[in-house]
Amino acid sequence: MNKTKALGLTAAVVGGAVLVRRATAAAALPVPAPLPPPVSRDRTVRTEDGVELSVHEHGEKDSASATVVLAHGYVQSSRLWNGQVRDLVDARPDLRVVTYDHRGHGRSGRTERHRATIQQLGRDLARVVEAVAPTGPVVVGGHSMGGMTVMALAEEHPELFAERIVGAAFVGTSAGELADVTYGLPAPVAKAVKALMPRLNEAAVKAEAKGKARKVGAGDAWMTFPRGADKALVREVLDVHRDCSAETVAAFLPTFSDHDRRTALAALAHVPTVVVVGDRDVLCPLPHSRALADALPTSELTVFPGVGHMVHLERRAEVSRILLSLVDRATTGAPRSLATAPG
Amino acid sequence: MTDLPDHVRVAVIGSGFSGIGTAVRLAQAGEHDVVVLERAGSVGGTWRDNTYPGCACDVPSHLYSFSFAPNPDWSRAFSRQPEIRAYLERVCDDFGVRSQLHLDTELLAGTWDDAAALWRLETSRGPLTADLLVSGCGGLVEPAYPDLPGLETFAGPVFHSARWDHDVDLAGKRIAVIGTGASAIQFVPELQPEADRLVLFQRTPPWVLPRMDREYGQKQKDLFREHPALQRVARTGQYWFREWNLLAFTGKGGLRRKAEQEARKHLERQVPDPELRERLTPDYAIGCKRVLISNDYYPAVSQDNVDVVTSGIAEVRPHAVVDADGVEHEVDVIVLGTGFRVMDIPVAHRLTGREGRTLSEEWQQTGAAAHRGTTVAGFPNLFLLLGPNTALGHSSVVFMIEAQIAYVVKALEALEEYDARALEVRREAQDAYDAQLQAQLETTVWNSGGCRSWYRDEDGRNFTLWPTHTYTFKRQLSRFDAEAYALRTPARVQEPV
Repeated sequence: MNKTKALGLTAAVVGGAVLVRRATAAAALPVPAPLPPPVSRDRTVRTEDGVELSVHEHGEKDSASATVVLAHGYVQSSRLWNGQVRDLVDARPDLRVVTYDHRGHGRSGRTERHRATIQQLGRDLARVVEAVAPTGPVVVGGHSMGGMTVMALAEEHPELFAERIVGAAFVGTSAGELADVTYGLPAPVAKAVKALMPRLNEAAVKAEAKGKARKVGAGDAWMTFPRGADKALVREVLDVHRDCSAETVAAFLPTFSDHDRRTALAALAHVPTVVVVGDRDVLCPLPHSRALADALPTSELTVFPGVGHMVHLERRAEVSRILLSLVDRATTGAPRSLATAPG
Repeated sequence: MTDLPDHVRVAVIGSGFSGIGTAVRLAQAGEHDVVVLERAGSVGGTWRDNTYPGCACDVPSHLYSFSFAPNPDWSRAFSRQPEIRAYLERVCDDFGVRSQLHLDTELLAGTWDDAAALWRLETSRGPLTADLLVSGCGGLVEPAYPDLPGLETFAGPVFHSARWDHDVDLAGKRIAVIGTGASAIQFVPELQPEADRLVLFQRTPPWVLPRMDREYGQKQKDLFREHPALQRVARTGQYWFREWNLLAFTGKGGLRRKAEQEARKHLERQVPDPELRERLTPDYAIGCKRVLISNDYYPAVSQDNVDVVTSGIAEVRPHAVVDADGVEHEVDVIVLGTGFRVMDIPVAHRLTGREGRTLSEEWQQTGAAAHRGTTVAGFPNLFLLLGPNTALGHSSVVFMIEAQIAYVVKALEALEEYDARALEVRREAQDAYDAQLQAQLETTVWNSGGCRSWYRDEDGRNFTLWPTHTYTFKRQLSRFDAEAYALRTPARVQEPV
C-alpha cells in the first residue's frame, strides 16, 4: 500500500469513528461537567497523640440544627464524600456537614504504626465530634473503614450514642469476619493474594523511601469498581489512591483482620441507622451489610444492584437522599439536645 | 362477595386486559396472594365501558388477545366490543382468577408507607394494605368532556360515547355529534340511517384507510380450534405485518406517502362531492394522529341528512349548537365523541408516593414519564401497566401489557432474590430512559407530522407512544434491570420516641 492510500484509509477510519461517536453521543445524555468542590471551612483537630487531623466544615456554621460527620475509607480521603456534602448542604442549609481525613490519609498528619488501628480511628472520631459539634445532635456516617471507625466509636464510647449521636450510617462496610472475604476470587487465589499483600506493601514502603511512587492502577480499580463503571469515577478514586502513601497502606492493612465489632453494635440499638451497599462490592460484600442490618434492629438496608465498593460515588444522589432521610428520622424524635437548638 | 383481605402481596387496580392478565400471570408464577379491585360491577375495562353502536377494535382480534388465551372463535378479523368483553369474562373463568376479583370496589386513595414499605389503600369497600401495587388503569378510561359555552343549558340528552345512554331513542332525532376520532368514526355510520339529521362537528379530519375486515366462517374457526398452530401462524402474520407498517410512522416517508395515496383514493372512491371531500381531507401527515380504518364512515357522512361542520363551535343553546360562523344547528341530542383524558388519568391523583406528592403532581413537574413505561421514581413497588410511552399507533397494546406483566413477575422475583421489601427505580435511570425515548420520538411522524393529538402534552412532549418495534419493548422488559433500582428493607423496629 502506498503512503497516500494509507493516509486516505486512516482518514476514512478516523472520520467513520467520529461519525459513529457523534451518532451515539446524540442518543446518550450529555456528560455533566465535574462539580467544583464544596465551599469548606478548614481546620485541624489534634488527636490525643498529637496527630493533626485535617477537618472540613460545610454549611451552617454557628446555629446548625444538626451536625453530620462523615468518615472515609482505607487509602481514601475526605474528598470522596464531596458529592454527599454538596447534596446535603444544598437540601438542608441548616445542617453542618463535616468531613475529615483519617490519620495518615489525605492532608492529615502521619501516624505511628502501632496507632494505625480502627480502635484509634474511633478515638480520633470522638475528638472530631467533640471539636466540631460541642452541642446539638450529631449523625455519624462512614464508608468502609470509616464505617468500622463508627463501630469503634460505639465500642469506646457507647454513652455517646445515647446522649450526643442520634443516628448512624454504614456505607459499604462490615462488622467483622473480613478474613473470609475472597474479593470475588476463588478462595485459594484470594488466600494467595492476601498472603502476598503485606510483602508487596512493605516492598512499596521501601521503594517509596527511595523516591519511587506507589503503583496504583488496574488492581485498585478492579477492587473498588465493577466492570463498566463510570470512568470518571474510577479516575477520581484512583487519583485519591495515588495520594495515599505506601506507608499508610502498609500500616493500616493488619487492623482489618482484627476488626470484629459485632458486640459493639448493641450501643446502636436505640438510634436510627441505615446500611447501604452495592451488590458487586468485593471488599465488604453484601452479606456483611446484611449481617450488620440484622444486628441493628432500627436499621434500614438499601442494596444497589450492579454497584461496587464505592456505592456513595456510583449512586451519589440516592446515598445522599438516604443520609438526608436518616437525618430526618434521627432528629424528628426530638432528642434532648435538639430542644436547646434555635428555630 | 368475599370481604377484602387486610393485606395482600399484590393489589391490582382495574380488570381490563391489564388487570386480568396480571392476575393470570401472577397465578401461573405461583403468586396467589392477589386481589383485583374493580370499581364497576363487571370486568372488561374500556371494553366494558364503551358500548356505543358499532364499537369494535382497530387491531385484528387474533393479535388483540392474550398469547396465553388464544380464541379460535373470533367471529371476524376486527371483533366488536361485546365479543371482546365476553372474551375477557371467559378468560377470568378459564384461568380461575374470579375468586381474586373484587367488583364494585373502587380505589379511592393509595399512599406509600415508607416505614412499613407497603401501600395503604382506601377503597369504597374498606381499607387494605399491599406490598405491591399494579395499576391496570391505562389511559383510555376517563371521558374527556369539551368545555363548550352553554352545554349545561342544553334541553335534550347529552352523553359521551364511552358512557352511552342506551335509554335515549335516537330514531328520527336530530343529533349533534362532536368529534371525529376513533369512536365517532365507528358510531356515526350506525346513527346516520336512523337519524333525522346528523350534524357532525369536526375540528380536524382523520386519515381513514379501508378496513380489511372479514367474517371467519365455521370452517376456519374449526380449523383454528383443531390446529392451534395455524392460529399462531395467523397471529404471527398479523404481528409482523404490523411491525412492517411501523415504518410508515418512523421511516423516511416512502411507506407513509403510499399510505396517504391509499387513503386519498379511499376518500375519492367513497365521497363523490368535491366540496365535502375537501373538508374531509387532512392537512397533516398520515399517522400523526391515530390512523382510522373504516369502510362505512365516508359513505355515511356523504348522505343528505349529514352536515359536516368544520368552523368550530361557538356555543350551545337549549335546542341548538351554534357554529363559529354563527349558524344555529337545531338538534335534539348531543353525542360527545371527544375521547379521553389521557393526560390526566384519575389514578394519578389518587396515588401518593414516598415524598408525599401524588403521581399527578409528580408528572406536572416532570411530564408523564416512567422507567420502561412501568415504574416511577418516588413511587416504590408501583407498576403502571400501559404507563407513559407504551401506547401504540401500529399494533396491539395487549402485546405491550404482556411484556409489562412479565416485568412485574421478574421484579417480584428480584425482591425475593434480594430478600428486600421495596424496590424503587432511580431517578437518574428513569431520566436516562426517557431522554433516549424522547430523542427517538423526535423524528417520528407523531412528533413531526404537523398535527395536534392526544399523543402529546401541551408542551408537545410525546408521553404516550412507544417509539419503535414492540419486540424491542418485549426484549427490554424480559429482564429485570436491577441496576436501575434501589432495593430496600425497612427497619424491623421503629426507633423509640
